[in-house]
Amino acid sequence: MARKPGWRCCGWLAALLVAPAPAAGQAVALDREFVRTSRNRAVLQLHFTIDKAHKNPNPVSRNGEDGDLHMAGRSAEVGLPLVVEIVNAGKNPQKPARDFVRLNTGTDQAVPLAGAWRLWFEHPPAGLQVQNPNVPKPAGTNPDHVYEIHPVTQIGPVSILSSFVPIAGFEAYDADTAFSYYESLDLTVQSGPSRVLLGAKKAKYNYAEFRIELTRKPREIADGYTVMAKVLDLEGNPVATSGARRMVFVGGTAPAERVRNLTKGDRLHVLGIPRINLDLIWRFARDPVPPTVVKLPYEMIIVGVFPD
Amino acid sequence: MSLSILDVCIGLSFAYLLLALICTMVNEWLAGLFGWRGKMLVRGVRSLLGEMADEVLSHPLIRSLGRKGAPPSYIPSSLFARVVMNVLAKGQETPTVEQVRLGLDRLANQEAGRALRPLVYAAGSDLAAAERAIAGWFDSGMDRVSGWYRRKMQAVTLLAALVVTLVTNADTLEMARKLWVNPALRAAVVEQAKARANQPIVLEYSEAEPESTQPVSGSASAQTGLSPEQEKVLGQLLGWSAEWEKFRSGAEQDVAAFLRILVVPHLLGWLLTAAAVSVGAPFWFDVLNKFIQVRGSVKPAAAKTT
Repeated sequence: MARKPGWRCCGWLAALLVAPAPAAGQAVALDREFVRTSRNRAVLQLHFTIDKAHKNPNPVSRNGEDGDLHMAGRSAEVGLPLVVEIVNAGKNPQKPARDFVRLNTGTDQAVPLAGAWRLWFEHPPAGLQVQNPNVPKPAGTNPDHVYEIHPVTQIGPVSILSSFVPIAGFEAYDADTAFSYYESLDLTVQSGPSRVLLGAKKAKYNYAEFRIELTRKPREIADGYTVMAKVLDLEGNPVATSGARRMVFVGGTAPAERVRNLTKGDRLHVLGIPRINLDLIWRFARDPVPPTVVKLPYEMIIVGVFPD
Repeated sequence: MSLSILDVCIGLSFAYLLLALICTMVNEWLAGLFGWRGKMLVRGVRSLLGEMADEVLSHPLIRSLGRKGAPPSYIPSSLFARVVMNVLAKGQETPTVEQVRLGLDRLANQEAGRALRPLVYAAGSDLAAAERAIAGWFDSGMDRVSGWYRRKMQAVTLLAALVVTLVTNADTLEMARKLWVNPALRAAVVEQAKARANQPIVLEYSEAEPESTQPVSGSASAQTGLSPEQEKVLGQLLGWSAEWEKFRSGAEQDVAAFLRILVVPHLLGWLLTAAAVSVGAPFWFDVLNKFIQVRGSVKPAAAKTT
């Protein structure tokens, strides 16, 4: 049965009103200085008040359980709802770190912490999160957040650099699935004199297993290395990414030791997690820009290198 | 027929988007030519610091941020705070609390002194805390500057929209008529609109100089460029040639005929276009995206009924 055109127009109007806008409400406003100083850093050093923590690390399984230990809390240096994750947390070498977390959870004492910073819209807020010094205590271990320290490299006096290895028994997303998804994401960027506003829809696919082929020799940064590399699947076929991607290696970890002496054309089989590339954001939004939709600029933190 | 209405809406949104992008280019050009960002920043710093502003703005650390002697368009808040402390302490590289307070005492009767005293004294002997407080105060001030700049640019945009509308004879009513009566033109415009909507900016490192300090490709200026196809589509929707031909071939070529043929019929359409274009490209980009989404969802149903 043919509907009347007038009714169809009303339907369109209704659809138009409910169609999702880019970055509808899910956004974070970062201080310009925070963006500028973080952009070429692998790691953030901070003081962290552990308000909530899992009693035990996640189990490891082939259906998505990654073995991480989750904590939530506050940090004056970050000024956003913050989640911190220790990778390979159930392994024996991480026992001192687990004990430290247990002893310091809920004490209201800020402890020194360091780890790879990670901005990703995995658990975005319903509205806007603005960096400010008065972040409320989280109610659970996984509050709405876009900023994480993941993986941790040091908590209190305990170094966890050795946790940067592949997670035995865990099946990460394959390169095609993960990267075709990352490439499909958009980000709305807006910047003013003091803040940079980023908005995006919820993003997923934390861990990806893939190969990289270096397109340049590694560049040493203050706390690690960055590498421009092509992304390949496990068979060595190129994955459809828009050009070479930046890979971030945290200084002092096994992956950083593996990459430091490599050169153009060398390959590595790696486990990585994505984060928004604040260097590209900074270059784009250094001068004030109106709200602009861009393809999500991301880079990969290399968490482990497989032996082959 | 109903799909045609939606396509006309898409065509109009697309034309507004392209015209708004032209306005953005004009605005950027004017802002660069007259150094509006820098001037607004200077005005903001003066409103915060009063007479002390000149000393801060002429400090080498601030001056080096600008190009060829022009004021910078952006000052990091931490740098601003450091320079203020440095100026208060009469150029001491590592100022002490006493030196800073002495500097404040000298400014006791000035605006800067009255504003900075509570910030510095509240931090006690912790100079780093005082710097952070000054940086925070500067950030709030710059939020205000951002508001001034936005308002100024809104006025400039409206003016630019009027000029662009008149120069291109972008009459909303005439564009809608052309799209309605010409299915081929409508289809071509919708195709171009789809291509534009599906083409967000890609931020990437250049092959030659990855991770250099240069802005990435896909900057705001690159986004505002129109492709030849888009220019062609605009050319079919806008322009003076038909009206001008009508005027030239008419029996009378006086002012009354000029107004009757070239101005009066377009007045309402021009006003509609200028108002729409002044809303800005991001708005029309969002609207266009939504129309395209809606078109994608209703096309099969519409096809059955037409």
